[in-house]
Amino acid sequence: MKRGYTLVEQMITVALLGITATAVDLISLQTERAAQAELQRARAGVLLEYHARRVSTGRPVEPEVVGRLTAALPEAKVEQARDGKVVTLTATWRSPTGPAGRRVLTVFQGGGR
Amino acid sequence: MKRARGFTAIELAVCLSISAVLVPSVFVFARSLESTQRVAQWHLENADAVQRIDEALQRDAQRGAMEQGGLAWGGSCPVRYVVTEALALERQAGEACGGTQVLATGVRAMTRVPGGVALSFGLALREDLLQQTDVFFALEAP
Repeated sequence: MKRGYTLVEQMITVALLGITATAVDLISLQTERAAQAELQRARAGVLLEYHARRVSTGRPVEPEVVGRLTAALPEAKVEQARDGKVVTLTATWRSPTGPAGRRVLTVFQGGGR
Repeated sequence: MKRARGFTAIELAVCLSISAVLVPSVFVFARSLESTQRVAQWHLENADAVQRIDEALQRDAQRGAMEQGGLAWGGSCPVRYVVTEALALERQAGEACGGTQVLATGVRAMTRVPGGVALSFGLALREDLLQQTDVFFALEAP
């Protein structure tokens, strides 16, 4: 009886190993990007809290401070929607995972959020 | 006829050549996977820490003016923020004011900048490779 493996069998094994390694690598990269997106979400939270404090106290935001807060949030912007005493702050930014990151904070002018 | 046992020199040479290519590749791949996972874990820990630090800083900032150029508040409940030698960011206060809390680890520096505080998180992936990310916290007097 002939022993050993044919060249085709060996090529299939190597191809399967290659596909598995590539898949593992891609999943790992996606995990890293998702974690990076989570850090950006936390940064956006700090940005929104700053805007919320300014809305609560009626003071305008300082461009220099906003610049520092958004330095690591590409294309970040904060929009305000006012409905009586309720102000809805929406922060958007370019997320490393693809779709734009978005975080919302509702502020009651005169206290509380 | 008696069958020869063992390997020929060519078979051994082929086997060694394939191993010479595969073993380092697997090693490099495993290291790359490990560092990617470490970086992912680091980002998640930083995300938690950012929220914790911002809450603590804002709570303390509401209690009074920060000492000139420093990261401490005086008054009846003195609080100060310190980056220890172990690269941990500690909020140090008396027991009545929350005691000493570790807010984050892997903090390379915390500096007072106009309008707030800049924090630098670092992760040493290798001796010669440091991943770094900066986070700014806005601070204002009440």
